Amino acid sequence: MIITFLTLFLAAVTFLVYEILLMKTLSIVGWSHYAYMVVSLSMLGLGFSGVILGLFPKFFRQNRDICILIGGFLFGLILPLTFYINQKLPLNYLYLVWDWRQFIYVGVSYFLYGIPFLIISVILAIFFLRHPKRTNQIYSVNLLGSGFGVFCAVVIMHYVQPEKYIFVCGVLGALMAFIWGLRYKKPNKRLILSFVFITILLINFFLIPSSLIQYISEYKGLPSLLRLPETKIIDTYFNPFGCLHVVEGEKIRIASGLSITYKERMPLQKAITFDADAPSPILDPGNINSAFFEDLIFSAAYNVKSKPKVLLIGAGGFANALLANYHNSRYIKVLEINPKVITALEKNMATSFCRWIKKANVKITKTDARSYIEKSQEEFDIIQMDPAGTLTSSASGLFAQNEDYLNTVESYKLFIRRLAPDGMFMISRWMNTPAKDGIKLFATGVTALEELDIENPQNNLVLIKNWDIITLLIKKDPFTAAELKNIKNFCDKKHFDISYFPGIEKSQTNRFHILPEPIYYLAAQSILNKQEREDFFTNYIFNVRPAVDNKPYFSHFFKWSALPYLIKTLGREWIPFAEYGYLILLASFIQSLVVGGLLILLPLGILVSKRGKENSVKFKFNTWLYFIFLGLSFMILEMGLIQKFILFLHNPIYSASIVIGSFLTISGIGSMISKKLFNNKLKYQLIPFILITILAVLYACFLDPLFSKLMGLNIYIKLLLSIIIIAPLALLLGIPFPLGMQKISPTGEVNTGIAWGCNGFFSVMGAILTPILAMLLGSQIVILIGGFGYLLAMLMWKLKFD
Amino acid sequence: MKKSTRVLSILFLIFLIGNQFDYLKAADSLFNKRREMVETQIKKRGVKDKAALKAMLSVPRHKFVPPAHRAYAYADRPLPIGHGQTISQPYIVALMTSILDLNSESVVLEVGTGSGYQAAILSGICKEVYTVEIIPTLGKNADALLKGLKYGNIKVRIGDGYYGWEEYAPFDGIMVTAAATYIPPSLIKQLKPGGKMIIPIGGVFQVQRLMLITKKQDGSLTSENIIPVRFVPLTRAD
Repeated sequence: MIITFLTLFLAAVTFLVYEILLMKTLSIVGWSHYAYMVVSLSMLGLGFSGVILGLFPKFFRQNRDICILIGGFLFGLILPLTFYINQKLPLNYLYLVWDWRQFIYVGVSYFLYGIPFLIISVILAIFFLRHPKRTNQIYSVNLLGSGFGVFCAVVIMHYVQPEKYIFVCGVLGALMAFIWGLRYKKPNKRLILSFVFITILLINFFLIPSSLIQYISEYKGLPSLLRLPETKIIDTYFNPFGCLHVVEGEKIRIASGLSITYKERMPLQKAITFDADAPSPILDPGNINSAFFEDLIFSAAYNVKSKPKVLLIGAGGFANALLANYHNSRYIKVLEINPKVITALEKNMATSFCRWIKKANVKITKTDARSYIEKSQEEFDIIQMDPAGTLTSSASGLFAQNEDYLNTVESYKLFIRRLAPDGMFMISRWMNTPAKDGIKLFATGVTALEELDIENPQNNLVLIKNWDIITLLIKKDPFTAAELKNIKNFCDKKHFDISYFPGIEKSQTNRFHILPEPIYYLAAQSILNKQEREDFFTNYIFNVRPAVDNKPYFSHFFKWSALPYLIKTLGREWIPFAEYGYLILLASFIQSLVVGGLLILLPLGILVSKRGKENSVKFKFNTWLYFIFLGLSFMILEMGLIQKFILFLHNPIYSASIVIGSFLTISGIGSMISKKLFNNKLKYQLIPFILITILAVLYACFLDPLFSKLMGLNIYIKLLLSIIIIAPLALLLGIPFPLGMQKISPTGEVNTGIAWGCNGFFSVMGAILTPILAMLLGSQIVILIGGFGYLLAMLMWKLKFD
Repeated sequence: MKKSTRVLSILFLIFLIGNQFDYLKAADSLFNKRREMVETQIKKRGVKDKAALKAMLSVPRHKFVPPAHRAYAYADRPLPIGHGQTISQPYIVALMTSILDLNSESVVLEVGTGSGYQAAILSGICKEVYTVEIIPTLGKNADALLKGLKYGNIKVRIGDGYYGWEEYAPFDGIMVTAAATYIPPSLIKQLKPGGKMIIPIGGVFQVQRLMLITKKQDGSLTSENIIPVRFVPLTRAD
């Protein structure tokens, strides 16, 4: 039995490791929307495996042991091949709107990436068939392995180059088969086993790419830089945050926020990219002319404050620290969440980094800005946050679904509170057309000031713009006449437009970077006027309402009212209007619904009707519903909580690993309890469902206030607390599925397959539905929906067995 | 001549005429496509510049599009040309051309030759077109294609567009078709007083917004954002 459990455990580990590492690999070679594709595929794999088992019960009954062995080796063999073929496909999502062939490539690509998931899923399902009386133990080991897989993936991302991710997954699969093969005692069989194992390792080793660069989309930032003559990668860093590349070349010239009046030569620079995108300049402190700094829009705040104490959110390529130093800042604190960024800068800034930061009185703190600002009492004269500072992927719109707890009303309030008297919070965003980011930025700033009970917030804001960047300046106190004069003079001299300052006239706007109408000025006036504000938010074509912690999606601008326009202009004008992120989520949902429906629900339906005709054990509709509710609700609760814990832990990597890992591991322990419960009376069986619902309500109502009390604690204590908070719910969540499986497994392989498939399919739906619901309704409601889903599952359970 | 040979010769002649007819028909259909492109995609959206419209009608856009995407050459969208570059949507090409206010005496600089299509359009309007491409493969291909199509007033150089083309400066108009993260001072310097520079902003395959920089007679600059797409404006009237 040890070999059985060990193999099962490894299969579950392999499944999760492959899922996470594939997501990461694809977000480097492509964009992060692949993450949803991978989640869908993994769940479809689980669902479809149930169908396969249901369709061929006899075959799997007779050949189940050999299927596990061959499946494991096949996984190890097929993985590098599918990845390799996939990268050779002429697939480009950007062409989808006009090139019908791309839909075929998408189909082929999904099929190829899906095969490994299907193989492991079949193996996992076979274990359920193999041990119908030990369902709870099988489920438990499966969940424990999945939980461990999450931690393994994080460790792998720390120590293994992204190029080797696929190799690691292949080895894990082959190892699983090898361990299973140890059941064979005969020496010649073991010899063959060892030979196959080593062969697969060698195939994996030789097929892995020496570099991912050749596979990266040509439209991403890194390949664009590398196309410049005499440009090359000089350094690569990786960790779970992502992959950093440092690029060197004389023709690299990046200068966001630079005035059109700048007349000097561009300073020599290197560039740093994050996940092969979002290049940010690395400047040499000893080789920059003063005009360069003077002509940056970010100098606006420094024109008002002399010798300021500065807080910079994100190190970026360290350009903002150099700017602060140029303006004689007396102290500069840089908050950088990714330690590898600092390592990259230490190595690649031409002037000795350590010597320079000591001289410039720079202090680097490797932490997340939100958690730092929550617990620190330090005050600053200038707090700066801009897109170049925070090294994350930049493709606006694609990240609509990404939680951003730095750009919410609650976050802005914290930053404003940390301002010294007369201090200034300077936030910048990319300019886009039609206007979106800048308007939402202003709305978020106004709401933050109002919630801080600051009287007349219109006196505490200035909005300025270049052709590429829009910058909001917020003060705790009203801007003085002298400060406004300084800013106006600076903007006039450098040809930056002022879109808003206290008492601005329309004629003072839209002078240098002229828009067809002074849209930012008009938007600012509407937002500041409380009577007009709601109408403005309702009528504007994009969602520019301020982002809040409950819906932390600053980049989510999509509005359903704009959909008719998008459809009307599809393929021509729609892309700048479209919010990729949201539409990709919707597309993933529809695509999973269709594909899953065809691959899982349709065959399952046929199986059920066939069973009915054969007059064997009937699979009632409420049994279907039971597994449907479990699949949906488990994923909704899990993903809803991940979002909540990102705020608490301030780190998506920690948060996802802790929440998913704890969820799965503790659920595994919970499933052990199901056996005892199964033998109990019905009223006892209903307890976990009721408790799950109660806990979900409690989490939805009290997690936010609890987190705000605990926010200032040390990260390790917070990690421990997270596990403690998650534990009761996760423990209970482990019970209902094996409970149901125990009930139906004596009725045969087909029904087991149907239950497994149903649960898998609706898990896919849950995984994609959760962010859609979170954007629409907020995470609190999402958690409540998850909780009530279990109540419905309980009703189905009661209906069936009462 | 034997009867059979005569029959064969006649058949061959018919084949040749038929082929020629097909060729003419194809050329005619492509011209029709171009005309349709100009009528429906460009004129309807408000581009009135006769010289730009004429150039758009005459330049065989399909020859600048890679074979794999040639079927969509006259469609209302940008198309990939390799190396992470695109050939802009026809409307954007026409709009950019018309905005520069060029005439038969104009000398114009293009930064980012790409496929060479934009240079070919400018060639029909201006006296001289200078175009610089930093990616050697693209520059060489475009040069060969433009020479093959007998555009005699275009000079292609492979080099860094950041420095413009000092030798032929000043220019009446500059068109920066490569991605720009800022406006190179050397280009502004090479622009004649009263000259205009146009830069598309936005990612590949997006309908871009255009930035028009005008150098006044005193050397000062203004930039204007031109939004080439219709968009529901604010409700506030003032």
